[in-house]
Amino acid sequence: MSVVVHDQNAAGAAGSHLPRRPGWLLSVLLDGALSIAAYLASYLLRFQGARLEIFLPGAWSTLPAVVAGQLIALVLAGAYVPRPRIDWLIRVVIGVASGSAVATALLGLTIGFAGLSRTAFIADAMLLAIAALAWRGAWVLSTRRPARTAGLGPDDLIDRAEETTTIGSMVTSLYRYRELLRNLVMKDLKLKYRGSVFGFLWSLANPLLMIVVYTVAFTYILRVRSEGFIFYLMLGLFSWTFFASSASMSTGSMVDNAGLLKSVFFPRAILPIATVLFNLAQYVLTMLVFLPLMLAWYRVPLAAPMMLFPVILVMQALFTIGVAMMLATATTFFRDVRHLLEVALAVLFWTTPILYELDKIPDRWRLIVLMSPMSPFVVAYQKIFYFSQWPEPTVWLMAGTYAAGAFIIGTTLVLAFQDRFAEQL
Amino acid sequence: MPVIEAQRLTKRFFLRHNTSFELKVRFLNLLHRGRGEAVEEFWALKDISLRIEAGEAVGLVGRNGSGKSTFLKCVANIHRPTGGRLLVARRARISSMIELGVGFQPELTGRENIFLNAAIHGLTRAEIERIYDPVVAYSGLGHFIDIPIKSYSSGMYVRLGFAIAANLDPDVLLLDEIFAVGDADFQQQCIATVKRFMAEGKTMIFVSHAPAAVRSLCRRVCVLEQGELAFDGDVESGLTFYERALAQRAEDREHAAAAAAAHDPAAAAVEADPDRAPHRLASGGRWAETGRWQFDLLRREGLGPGHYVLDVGCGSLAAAVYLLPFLDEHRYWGLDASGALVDAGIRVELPRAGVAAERGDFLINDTFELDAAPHPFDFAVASSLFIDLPFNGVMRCIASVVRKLTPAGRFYATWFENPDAADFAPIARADQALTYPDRPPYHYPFELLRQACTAVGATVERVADSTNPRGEAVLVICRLPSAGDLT
Repeated sequence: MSVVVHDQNAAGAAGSHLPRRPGWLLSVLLDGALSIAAYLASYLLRFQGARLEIFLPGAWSTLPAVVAGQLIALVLAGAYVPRPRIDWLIRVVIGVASGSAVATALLGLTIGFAGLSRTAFIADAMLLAIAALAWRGAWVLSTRRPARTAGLGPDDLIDRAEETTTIGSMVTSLYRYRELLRNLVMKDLKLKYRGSVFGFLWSLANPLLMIVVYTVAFTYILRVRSEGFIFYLMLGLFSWTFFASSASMSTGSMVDNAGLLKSVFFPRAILPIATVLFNLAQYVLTMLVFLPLMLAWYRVPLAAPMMLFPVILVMQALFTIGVAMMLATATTFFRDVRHLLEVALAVLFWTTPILYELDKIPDRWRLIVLMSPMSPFVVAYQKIFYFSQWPEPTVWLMAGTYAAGAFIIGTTLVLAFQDRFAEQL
Repeated sequence: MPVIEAQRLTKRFFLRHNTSFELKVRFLNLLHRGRGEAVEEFWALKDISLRIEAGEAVGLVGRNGSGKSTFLKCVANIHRPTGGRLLVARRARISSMIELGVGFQPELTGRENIFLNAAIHGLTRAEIERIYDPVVAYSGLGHFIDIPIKSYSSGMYVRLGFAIAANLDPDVLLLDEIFAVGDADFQQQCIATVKRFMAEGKTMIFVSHAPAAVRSLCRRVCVLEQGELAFDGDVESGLTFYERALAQRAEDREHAAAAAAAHDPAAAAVEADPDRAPHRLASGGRWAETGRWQFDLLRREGLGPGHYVLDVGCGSLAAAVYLLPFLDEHRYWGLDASGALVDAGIRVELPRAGVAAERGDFLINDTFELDAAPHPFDFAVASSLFIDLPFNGVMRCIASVVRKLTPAGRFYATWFENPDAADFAPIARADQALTYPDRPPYHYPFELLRQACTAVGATVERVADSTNPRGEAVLVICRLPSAGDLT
């Protein structure tokens, strides 16, 4: 008896939508360059000042082994073979993770970890995975599929079966639907406070309460006495709340609007973006009330670094939008995401320096904490307002990587799967 | 110049029968490929080719599930076609009324909902402000426009939804079954609006079950049948074709049902109410429990798959359902006086239980004629048989069965006991039914059965069992060592 298996990946919808891919040589060169950059960057993140100079020779000497290991693993995982969109990206993650693990293990067994940093290997793997995914996502989003010329109808007809959304067309359509975005955000704000006597004041009550609880816990029970602790806490807590509530609301942004998705066309990415913008509006309003109060109360003089607030805000918003798009897409296919997210947020809260200071934790943990997704943004806020300093380059590096990486990967996911939302829900 | 052109358009859906969005299920599916979640392909559109010119009004008719809405949703960019081409004019503004009022927020006022809903359809702020007054006027809800629409009636809700859709000013309008909602007044308004659109030269595709609406609005009808374009042409022929197809189908279904009923009333009865099916009631009620009980009794008494079993009075095969799959092939023999009952068992009950009738053999006679069975039996069972037999019938049954037993063979039979052989009054049983000494349902004294057994060369003992579903007592009859020469 013979069994003929129909390969869904090779034929049908997924196959016909394969966009043009970069050649393998270009991909390998790009991944190689990124691998070098990620490894060096991870040492830069791990060690500061004079210690960096002590450890840098070790990094240089092991660099070829690590880069080779990662590239070989990527080849073995099939990252350079033409594959449908998502399969392609999963192979990249597997390749980077296994390559880094094998290279690290081999180096550890042969020459030992003297003069090397173990946490740097983890950071290297993460940075490379993000970078490799992001450039692929960006490539897919920015290239138009080669138009089929044979027998294509008149120029002013578009083929619904072949139409692809690129980053360009997505931005255009988002701009065209800006009124919807505005209406969705306003709707959430109105619905939240309609019918309550104190209206917007309620959104201040919640952060106020959190601050009181944490202050009592830390200054009176745990007796952590430090100058302006409430101010420090507030900076971290508010930006964390912006992220965490955006993330948990975004898991419902597609699922809870199933009826809409099934009967009207509009750019699907608008829903998670509106969720984030709604939370952003709340965050900004809260900051507008509390920030001047705090600055005045603690007599913090205005300083030049504070001007960076909008820059950091935009980076955090991009990062949060990216995460929201990933979560919204994932939830349509796996409803478990909601529960997993709850656990993840509980862990991430403690790996983010909100209740403690990044510079006061043991040096070896510094990199791990800094790699926690929200850390660079929280640290940046604390630096500019609490310490009145310019954020260090490492903070910028992490914040930039996370913001760009999450945004590109999230957009890729939504665009790759938006055709299937209406069918899946 | 076409506005919409489909070329061999197909759309496939995957139907997930075990609808679960949990990772757990996905994970388990990885472990057991093909188990758990059954994914079935469903082709909602098959090879549709049609061309709609600007200014045409096309009625899309077809039964539920024929792919009408899927086609609209492909045009509206909600679903992506699986194969073929669907060419749509790039500059055409397409507005879809697939569900009126979807996206309305009950807590928001009518005014706010107009702005939100128009924005969902892609209008800019300036455009919304331009259509706002016409929308309110059209809906006739000016008085209620500033109250939350959760206090609207369902009619007002639909009215507002249609008012927005009617004022979107599209080039192509996709309407799905909107004439099915609202009162007559509202439907008049809808039809008037659609006619105005037609006069303005807009293109329209509309899905409707109402022939009157199609007739008054369309110049062309497309009939979809199971995802295929079955007819494309003028309205009258199209509607006639559709109505004929509907009638044909209703007739087919009637025929099929009638044929099924004529062929097999028993199957229909079981499907309707298993326990009230005539062939089950004929066996005395509690059909399923009795079957299970017989099987359990024999298992308890040492039945193995290799034993030969005779089911005396097998009826509609209540016990066979359990015995056939358990025993090796051709070890089960069913005997009954009624061919109709056995037939019902083979046609209805065995397939229902997923049991192949070919594994067993059946005898139909009322004289307990067992010569057709080539082997003696290790076990025989007669459940609720003696209550239907007069005493000589019982003796004949015992005599025939015992002759056909192996030397160590046992014959289990249930009967209603009369504790006092000198008492000829009816006895009330657990379910208030009466049993009689001289007419069915019969009861017999144990002593009498013992004598009958002795007379035919068998021994009899009671079996302690209080679990019979009908409250009957149980006997075990064995052949005497010397009974062999009776044959």
